[in-house]
This record gives sequence, structure tokens and C-alpha cells, in this order.
Amino acid sequence: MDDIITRFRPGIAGLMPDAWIVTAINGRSAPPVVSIHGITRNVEEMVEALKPRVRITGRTLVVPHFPRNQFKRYQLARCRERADVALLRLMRELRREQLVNDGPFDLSGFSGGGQFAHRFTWLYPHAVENLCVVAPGWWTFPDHQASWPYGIGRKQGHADEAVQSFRLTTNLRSFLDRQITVCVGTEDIEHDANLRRGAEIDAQQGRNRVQRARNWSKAAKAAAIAQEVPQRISFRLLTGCGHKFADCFEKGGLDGVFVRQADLAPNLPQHTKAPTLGFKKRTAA
Amino acid sequence: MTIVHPQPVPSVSPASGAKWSFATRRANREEAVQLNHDLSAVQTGDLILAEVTRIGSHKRLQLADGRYSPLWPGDPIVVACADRYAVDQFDGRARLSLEGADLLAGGGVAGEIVSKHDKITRGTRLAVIGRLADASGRPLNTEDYAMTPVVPGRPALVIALLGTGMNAGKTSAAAGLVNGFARLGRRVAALKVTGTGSFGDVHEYEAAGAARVLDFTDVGMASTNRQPIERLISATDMLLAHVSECDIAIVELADGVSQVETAALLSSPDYVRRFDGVILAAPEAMAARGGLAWLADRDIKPIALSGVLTRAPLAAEEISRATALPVLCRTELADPATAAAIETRLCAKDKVAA
Repeated sequence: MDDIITRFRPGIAGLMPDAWIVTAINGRSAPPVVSIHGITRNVEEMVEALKPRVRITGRTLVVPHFPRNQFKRYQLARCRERADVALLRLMRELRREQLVNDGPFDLSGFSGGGQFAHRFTWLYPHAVENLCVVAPGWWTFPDHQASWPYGIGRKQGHADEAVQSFRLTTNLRSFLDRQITVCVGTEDIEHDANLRRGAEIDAQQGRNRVQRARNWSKAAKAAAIAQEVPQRISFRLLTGCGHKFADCFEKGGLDGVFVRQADLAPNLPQHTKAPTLGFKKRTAA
Repeated sequence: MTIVHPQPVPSVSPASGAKWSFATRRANREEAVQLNHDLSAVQTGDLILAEVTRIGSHKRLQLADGRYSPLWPGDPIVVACADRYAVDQFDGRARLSLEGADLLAGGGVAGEIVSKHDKITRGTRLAVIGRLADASGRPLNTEDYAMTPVVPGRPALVIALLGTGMNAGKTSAAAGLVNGFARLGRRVAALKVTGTGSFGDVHEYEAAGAARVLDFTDVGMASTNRQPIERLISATDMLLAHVSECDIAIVELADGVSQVETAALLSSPDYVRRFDGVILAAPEAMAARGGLAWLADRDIKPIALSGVLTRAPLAAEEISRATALPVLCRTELADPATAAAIETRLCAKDKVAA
């Protein structure tokens, strides 16, 4: 008998993604890990690659699938189809079904999934405990001069940008207060059609994924210092890896950060944490 | 075949067959067994049996069960006698006379019109049959049916929705906030702590996804106008305590910030401390500036603006530039991403305070 259970949970077209949920039979009462696929939607490859980590760590893994025909631009998180809201809904349902614990989860994403992961965390910092971003093609920078989705500033007269700027600026400190791990393969340096290119973005972010990840990490660390947030951002090069998920796992040792070892005692009762709320419970005035 | 018609059950209640209004919905109707005809002794909150004699401004009555009922001359209705403060309708007093009374609010508040807005037609007129009383002759009052006190408490986060005046867009903004937090996965309570009893706001909050909706009528007041401030403070605390199992309470204060009771409440720093954050609704940019200045005098700094002004992008841009405050329309407030940012903002404030 296998020591893990893999479930497929159907979603609701356009509103909530399908998801694979992998649970260890003798699992830990740890926050779940949500892993977001890249634009190739390599969900099954991701599930298979991560199963050993579920065995080792005992953590519940959730791998949503954002189909191309329903969530075309899911990488933006707050896209027209609202992939961010779809993930919130999925996690709410999984908590209700007692498939995952209450409270914040860890969020990891590869390539386009990394884009989604860092933007989602920025929008909902209290929903995420640890963030792992691997080789996204481009980023939202903590840059007040650039507007969404490149930065967190706003152009005059753009009402929607103003509100998005308010959200991201407000959340900046809480976002940077997460444990953030940025990874990219040392050979992931193609400047090809799969990468968003152009003079402006190259100037802001760099010419390839390595430069962009390095520059973003540097900018995020500087922003964290400016915000007086403890330094919890790390940048890691995966030696000999290009832009292949399997390579990053097999050669780069990505698995240890993509599904981290939880620092909790084993076999605790599930669902003991209070819902995520950044407030202390208070008595009446 | 013989058709047997059911015989009406004889009732001892003089209000049998009357339309019971929203403001009286918590009353135990079985206790209304006789009438007290001393109208000069009427107290705010007394339950009144009246008959409609002339249809005026209010053509419908909000019933206790949440439906509207068109009014007809001759309709017997049960309403509460109370004051009313409504700049765009009536200024009314909790007074009755043998000549009759006015329906001051469609939620079921009766009294005497002192003045009215000039766009409003004359009030719907009532003949007062008497004050409803229990078997001992004691007049029944909305206060008799207030929720019972519970252990003091409050949700983790309490946000106040204020306005520069009536129809500034407070309820719409509050409903947006309720929806946004509910979609974020929070258990949200919506409270209206001042105003005149009306089911419109209650319905709006329920529709927005509030897990609990309560207002001042639940703590025994048909209207908060001219009520002692201590009573209003105590009512706020009781309402917060009753929803303490919720994550968040959105609290609407009626009318504008300078309305008598609202102004008195907001002028008390101790009262204001109940709120982790304040959002101000305004109909246009200059009204927002006035409201912000009034609040600043009391050391209250809203975290965002909303209201009718958000319908005009230019006005929103103008006030946003002038104040550096985010201007959030109902749709934006209903976005869980906005709710998350508001939560973060108030969480940071919470940590600083700690």
C-alpha cells in the first residue's frame, strides 16, 4: 500500500481550478504547499516530481490547474479571469472539506507559476507563509515609477491602476516580510520568444531570467531594508540547470525549497489553527 | 357536499389583523392585549396601533417579515413612536395627539413632523387608536424586546463607514466592503448603530454576504435620534459583543458626520477607539474635503474615501490627488484584493499600537 493519497478535485469552469491534492497518510499538521504550474500547464509532471517530497515532509500538496481556455493570463494573478480569486476559492473549499489546514499556506511556482506566485502573495500576504519563486519570465518590481504589472506605481488618470497601486503599496511591507526564496538555473539565459522582451522591460528587469531574478531579489532586499523588514529574501542559482522543471529538481536540488520541511511536530490533530487574520483578538473597549 | 368555512380564531389583541412594521419586528405580539389611550404620556419606542387616514409621502410600509406592503386608507398598522432626523425627508418628534400623527419613516416610525424637505410631499397621516399594552396595562416599548446583553467582546477588526451626509453612498460602500471581506474568506458582521429603523440596509448587507446583520432596532431603538449618547455607546458595544464570533465588523453610522448623535459619538475619542479604521463616503470632492477636515479636527483620519463621488472619475482623481487617499468605488471595495490591502493597512496600525 502506498503511503500517500492522490486525489483529483474537479473545479468549476472559469471560477475555480481543478486541483490535485497529494496527502501523506501519516502526514503532519503543517500548512499545505500550493504549487503553481508554468504556461505549459505541466501539472501531472509537477505532481509526480513532488510526490517524494510529500512522503519526506508529510505535508499536503495542492497543485491547481489553470486551463488555457479559462485562465489564459493566470500568471498575472489579478488577470481578467481573476485567477487570484479562483485560488482563494479553491483553498476555501479545501479547508471546508478538511483536506487542508486552516491558516496560511506555502506557495511555490515555476516559470509562469512563479509569476503568479509572487503576485498572488503580494496581493494576499497574510494568506502565504513561505514563497518560492522559480524562473519567472518577468516580475512585478517594488518600483514606484512603473505601473502594474511591472511595478507598483500609477499613471495619472488611470483609476484602476490607482487602486492596484494602493493595494500593492499597502501590502509591500507584509509581502516582504514573508520568507521568499528566488531560484533560477544558471543556464536559463535564453532571450527568446518565450521571454517577454523589449527595450523597456530589459532595462527595468534584465535581459534574461537569471538577470531578472537577480535584479528582482536585489530590489526586493533594498525595499525590505527601506521598510525596515527583517531580511528573509534569498536568491539561489541552480547549477547546470536551464528552463526545465525536471532539470531544476534532478540537478538543481530545487525540491527542498519548493516543498520545504515544515518545522512542526508530527501527527498533531488537523485543523487546529485559527483562520488567517492579521489581527489579535481583542476585548471590548 | 358541505363547504365548511374555518372560523376565525377570536383574538383578544386589538392589533389583530394589523400590519406590523419592521421597527416593531422584535415585539411579542401575543403580549399586545389591550390599549392605553393616554397619548400625552407616550415614550420613545412605544408601540402604537394606528389607522392610515391619508396617503402621503410614504406609500408603503416595511413589514416585520421583510416585505413591502402598499398602504391604503383604513389600514390598521403597528408602528413605533420615535423621533426622526432625515435632512432630505422629515424632522420629526416622538409626539402623538388626538388629532393624529405622521408616518415619519416607511420602516414604521410615527410622530409629528416638525419640518420637511421642500421636495417631499406632506406626510402619510395616521389616526392614533392607542398605545399597545400588556395584560397589566403597561405600554409595550421596543426596548422591552432588545437583545439580551452578552459577555463583552468584539470581532478582531472593526471598520466604521461614515458619510458627509444622507445619500453619500455609505450603505453601498459598506455593502461593498462586506462583500470583499466575505470573498476573502472572512466571517463578516454588518452593523448599523445609528439611524431610523429600515430594512433596506439590512437586506443590502445580507445580500452582500454578511454572516450576521444587526442594527439599533435589535437593541431596542426604533430610531436613535435624540437618544442619550450613553445609550448609543452602550448599544454599539452590545451589538459588537453579539457578533464577536465574526472576524470583522463593518459598522455604519447614519447620516452625515455632523448629524447631532453621530457628531457626538465621533467627538468622543473613547468611542472612536472602537474602530480600527474609518472610511468616509461623500457625494463629491468638496464634500469629501469638508468631511475630512471635520474629522481631522477630532483626530480621525480615514483610510480611504468612497461613496457617490466614485461615479465621477474626475472627482475621484481630484480628491485622491488632493488628499493622497485611495478612492474606492463599491466594485473595488467588493474585490477581495482590496479587502486584503485594507486588512494589511489596519494590521500594520494594530502592530504599531501594540
